[in-house]
Amino acid sequence: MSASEPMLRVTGLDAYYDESHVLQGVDLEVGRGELVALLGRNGAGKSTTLKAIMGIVPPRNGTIAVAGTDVCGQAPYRVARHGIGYVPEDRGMFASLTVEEHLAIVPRARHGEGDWTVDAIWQRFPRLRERRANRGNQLSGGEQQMLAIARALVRNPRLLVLDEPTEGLAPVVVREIAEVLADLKSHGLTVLLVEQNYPFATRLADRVYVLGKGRIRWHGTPAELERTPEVKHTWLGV
Amino acid sequence: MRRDPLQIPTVVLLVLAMAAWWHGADFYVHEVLLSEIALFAMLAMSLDLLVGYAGMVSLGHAAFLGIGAYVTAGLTVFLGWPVALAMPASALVAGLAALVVGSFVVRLGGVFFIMITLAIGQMVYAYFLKAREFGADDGMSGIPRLDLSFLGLDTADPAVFSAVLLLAALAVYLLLRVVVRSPYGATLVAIHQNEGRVRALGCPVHRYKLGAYVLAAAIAGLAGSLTTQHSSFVSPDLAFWTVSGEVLIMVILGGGGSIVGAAIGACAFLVLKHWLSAGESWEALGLPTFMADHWQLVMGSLFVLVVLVAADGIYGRARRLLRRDGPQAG
Repeated sequence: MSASEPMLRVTGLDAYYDESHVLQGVDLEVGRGELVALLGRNGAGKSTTLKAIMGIVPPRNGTIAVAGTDVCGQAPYRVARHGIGYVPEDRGMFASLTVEEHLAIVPRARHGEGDWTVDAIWQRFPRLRERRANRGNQLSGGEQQMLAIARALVRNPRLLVLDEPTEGLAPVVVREIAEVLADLKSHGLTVLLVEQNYPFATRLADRVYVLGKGRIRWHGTPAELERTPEVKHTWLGV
Repeated sequence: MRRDPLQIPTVVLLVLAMAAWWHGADFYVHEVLLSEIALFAMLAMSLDLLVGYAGMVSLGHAAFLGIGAYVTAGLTVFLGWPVALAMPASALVAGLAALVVGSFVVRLGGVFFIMITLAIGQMVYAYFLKAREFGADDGMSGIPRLDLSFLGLDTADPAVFSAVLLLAALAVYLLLRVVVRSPYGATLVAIHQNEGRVRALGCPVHRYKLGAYVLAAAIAGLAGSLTTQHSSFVSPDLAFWTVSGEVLIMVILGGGGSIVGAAIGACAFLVLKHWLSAGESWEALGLPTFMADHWQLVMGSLFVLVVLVAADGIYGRARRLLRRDGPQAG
């Protein structure tokens, strides 16, 4: 592993759900300290890309390198140990565990960076501290999303991967999440963000990949994307 | 931690009730009822770690009871080991057996796990049934009890030995309570709710489940050692699947996922069993005494009734009645 390697490099990633070829040679790269957004319509393969990276959907072909180490085909818990904090699409709450327990069950990453402790989490997310004794099913959607992010952070990841963190949340909560992500980025955390919320993602991201029908169709900066209406129209529908 | 305000009062009450019962008891109650309750409570509590926390419904828990019993019998009778050494050896061997078996079975879920644990339990039973060196279907007798004479206690006295067993059950409860209240215990609950999700968080799920399986088996092995000391006899029947089934019924009856519920289930099951299978009980109710022969029929109906009115068992139901402060999980 060398410092010059990007935090994440995915090349030629193929994944299938049974017979349907969902990812067809996806290439993408996330540099250290970058916030990269992966955009696309429903069914474009965004979540599948993250699941393939995490090893939840086993990739058929391709390479996935985390800081230069190939993790392709490894079990999810091994992939996570390379220092990836994963925030799943449905927030992944455990109904009967308390907020505190959600944070306690997370094993520390072997290749972690950062110095998040549970106390640091309470500082950053005072709302979670207030609700520390509440169970997963007693939290609002926004609180659940915050907890999902906090849970990913407490293992001190060097790469944070989020799957549609704004889905189904009120605008005021979306703004809060944007603040959190901007804050994490300013502290040097590398982030890969999957989103459908175009303004949210383009405001935060350094670079954007546009995924359509299982392939990367375009990549560049948010400003460049803004100047490329045909990409926006064809692959994002905005 | 998860709020369970009923837990401590229940345990205190249960301990006091057992102590009072023990204090006023006769030979029969010491020798049979209280001892059986203590032994089965240990088994049921250890099974609750699997069923109620990790979500691993095992129908072969008695295999480890049998292994523990035969290890103590073999070591004391054949090799002349002191019981105090044979007891940890029983727990260790049962735990090792679970480590080997568990490496395969924890990968399975749901009905496959039930069936494979049943099959493995029956394999252990079948082995002891045919093992001539262990007396085959006749079993072995003459197993000594733990020597506590240095404390001035004579364990041959049923009152003393039943107290030892009850204290052992209390120790098992305390151990399991520490385990389930730790982050490890919370992880087991999380695995129960969504295994894939826990894996994506970076937990080696199979190893966590294997740990629970081994710990539960080691406790069952210890219970097996105490069972064989209690009856000074061991036979393959200890490992038979109906024993596993009864223990599972105790967990469901009392309420899984609380540890103390399993102990309550063991008490309720055994007290009812003794009461229903005695002719006098039926006579006192003004019913024909032949009902005592059909105690299993009555017990089965009661079990169905309990599951219908309280799917989360006696303790689970009580806890739900008490808790009016928020929505419930399931």
